[in-house]
Amino acid sequence: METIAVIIKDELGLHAKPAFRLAQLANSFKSELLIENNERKVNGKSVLEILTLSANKGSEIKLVITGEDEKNAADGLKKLLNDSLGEGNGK
Amino acid sequence: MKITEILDADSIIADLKAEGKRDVISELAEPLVKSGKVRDKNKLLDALMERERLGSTGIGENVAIPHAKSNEIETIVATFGRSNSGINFDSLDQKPVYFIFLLIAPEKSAGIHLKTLARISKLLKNPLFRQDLMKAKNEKEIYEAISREDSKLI
Repeated sequence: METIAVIIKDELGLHAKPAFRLAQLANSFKSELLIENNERKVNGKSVLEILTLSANKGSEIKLVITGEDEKNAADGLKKLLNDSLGEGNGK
Repeated sequence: MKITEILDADSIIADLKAEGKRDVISELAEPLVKSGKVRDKNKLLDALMERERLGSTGIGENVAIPHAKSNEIETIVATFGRSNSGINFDSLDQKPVYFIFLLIAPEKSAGIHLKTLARISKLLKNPLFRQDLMKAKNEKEIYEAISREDSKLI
């Protein structure tokens, strides 16, 4: 199991576009992705599920990745978060 | 905030006729133009299509949520359309889209926007509600299904 903690920096929060990118990348791996926010856990491969979190700017979310390619998935997701979603460029 | 506060009964289309993405979005924007909420339809369509260009709002699971901002409105407004044949929306999972919520937000509306997306997502991820939407015979029944399900949410 791999976990990634991240604080949402995007002014608009975890809105449709970053949620799409996150789910899109997650779907390219076999591992399961759970996203936690305020003790709610949702399937990170579903944009509908991610959007129900309503994670606004400043939210601390946790990604939990489990599966045979969890290391690769975690690396990929970390890169996505650092490159765009975490820095407010995911608009 | 309730969906019924931003979605009028006459902003629902039970059987979308258009097929291409832009035409579907245009069909969905029409009720807002008819009701006078938006006057410049072309500008609105351009904004919506620009957003699609940056990444499809076909978020998977047969759902699309095209959205844009407009300086013509002061509160967020929505229209809803159902496609009975399924629309190719370049979706995340490549599946055809049956349910489309079109959202237009005022220029400064970050918080409300996220909450609206969350509420719509909570509704649409429920398989029983999706069945109700598919079974509804007309606009009125779709509106009733949405109101009923929406009132169950906190």
